Amino acid sequence: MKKYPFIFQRLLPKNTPLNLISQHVDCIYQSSLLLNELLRYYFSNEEISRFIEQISFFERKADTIKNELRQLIRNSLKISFTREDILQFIHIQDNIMDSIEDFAKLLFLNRISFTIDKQVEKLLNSLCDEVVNSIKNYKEMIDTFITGYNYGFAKPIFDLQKKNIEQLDDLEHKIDTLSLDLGKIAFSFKDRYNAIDIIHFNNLIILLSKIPNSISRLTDKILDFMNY
Amino acid sequence: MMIYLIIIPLFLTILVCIFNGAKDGIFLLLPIFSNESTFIKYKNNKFIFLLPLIGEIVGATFLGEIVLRKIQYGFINTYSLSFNQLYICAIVILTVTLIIFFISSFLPFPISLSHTMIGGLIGAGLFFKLDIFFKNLISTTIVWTITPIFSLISGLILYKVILNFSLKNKKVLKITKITAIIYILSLYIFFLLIFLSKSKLAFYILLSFFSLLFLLFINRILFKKSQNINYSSNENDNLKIEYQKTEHIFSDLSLLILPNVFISHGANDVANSISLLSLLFLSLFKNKIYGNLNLYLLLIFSVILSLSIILNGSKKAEKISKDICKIESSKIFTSYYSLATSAILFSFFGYRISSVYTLTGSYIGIGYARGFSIFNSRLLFTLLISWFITFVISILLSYILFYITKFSGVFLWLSKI
Repeated sequence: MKKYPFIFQRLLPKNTPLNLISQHVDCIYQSSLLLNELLRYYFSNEEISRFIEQISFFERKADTIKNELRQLIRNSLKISFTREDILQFIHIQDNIMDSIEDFAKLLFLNRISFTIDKQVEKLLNSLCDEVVNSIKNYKEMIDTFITGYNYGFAKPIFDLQKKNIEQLDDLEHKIDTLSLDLGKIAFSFKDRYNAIDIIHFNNLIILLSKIPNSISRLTDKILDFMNY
Repeated sequence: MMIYLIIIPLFLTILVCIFNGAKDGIFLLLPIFSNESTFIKYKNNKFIFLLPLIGEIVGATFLGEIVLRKIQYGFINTYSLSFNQLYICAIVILTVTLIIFFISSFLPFPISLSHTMIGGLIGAGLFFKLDIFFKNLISTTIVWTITPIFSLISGLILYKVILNFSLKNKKVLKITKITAIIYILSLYIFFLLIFLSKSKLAFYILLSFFSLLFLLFINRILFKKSQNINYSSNENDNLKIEYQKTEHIFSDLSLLILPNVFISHGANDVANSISLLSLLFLSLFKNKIYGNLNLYLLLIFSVILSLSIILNGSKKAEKISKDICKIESSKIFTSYYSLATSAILFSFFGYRISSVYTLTGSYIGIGYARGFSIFNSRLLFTLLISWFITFVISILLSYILFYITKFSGVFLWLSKI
């Protein structure tokens, strides 16, 4: 005979949209922590396949969470935010995960034939650091958002979130400047090095600099949620 | 009739108490078990296990008789039943209750003891062609329908009050400490006023008990450094710590009002379980026992029921708590507050309500106040249908069992011994 779920399991499901969003961010954060080491291994011409595997693992996990969220909001349960907003939010957040995965895969696909200048390497590393920082700050923002939700988005939470957004905006600006510098350097090599290598290098920078843009869109959405 | 035959309804009543305790214990303790900080306090301090026990005993002993009399004499004319008929009634209705308890584990909705018991009594009334007091029946069914809605509204309002007056404040921790005292005092005063109008002894017992709990709480929030949580340099973390400390206050509050929840439960469910046994005992031992027989029975069975809640209900609640979302202490407090006030108010007027339906109603109310990011609002409708189905099934089942009992010759056999 079929055993039905206990009434409380139906009333308050274990997974909530906010929990799933937080779990999804956690996957992004975990994979971003691998980026610095991945670059270090790449520059020292060492094997990077294990990083790709780890990042792919987090990407798959994030995809499962995204599907779970879709399934959850498809059920006829009452949700505090509009379904469309949540779907859009998770879609943008998933783009960050995809960018990280694409970045790692791009590194794996092609080894640049020219020797990268130490200054360029340093710039690329600091770009990577700032991206990881912005993901970390974004994760904190999501945690504060969830805490805030449980306390009706009190004024101190609002103020703190605004501060977090300012910090993220600063980081975005920094990343933009760094990526522009790196882009300029890349194209300055066009007469000396292989064009494919230059495009490849430029794509790496574009992928990383996409992340803070997505985060910026997400922070706007978070503010919308808080005002909803 | 042989007196030793009383052992069968006695045994069935004990079983009903045990099953009811195990079933209701899950619902009543589940919120606590879903929240880690409240659960740790509950688990680590064995003294806290006394809270449901004391609440259940006080509620059943001092307020249970109102509900008991309503069930015994309020729905059918039990005065016109002979002892043998009463005996059959007790066995059939208690058996129906146990059968429905068993079936309920395979149904997608909970079963309420009062709906089953009153359904069984109506079945008896129909079978023995007794007077059925429709006025009381209609008012009770109205109460069954409005209590989840009442607790939904009270849960919604109370959560909004807590949110706006405590949690949303700039100085959240300081303000919560002050408002917490107001919340707990208002509930204690409400309960004391209810008991003052019923029994002075109960009033004094509760006054001393609540005073003790209140002083412990004051000592904890004002004078003790109860939480070893230190502030850090990160503003995000500090904000979380501030709210964590606020949550600790609400988890203390939730445990403090646990006796109130069980006072209401005891007043309702113990009276319900023993209503038929008490009628039999009254017929057998009237004027043979010193004092109020109902009071003795309520006291004994409240201990059985509360032990079942603590021993059986808590185990299952712990298991199920892993499959539901974490409920914040402020929401646990709101739901308990709403349940305790609704249940005690209706019990005061002699109406039997379902704790499970009331608690569910209050959670839906909190959900509507945007307390939960996701919840099942349709459950309230499911619950309304479920009480109707339970009620109708118990009428039919008891009628069929009475029919079988009559034609199998049990009535004849009873009249001979």
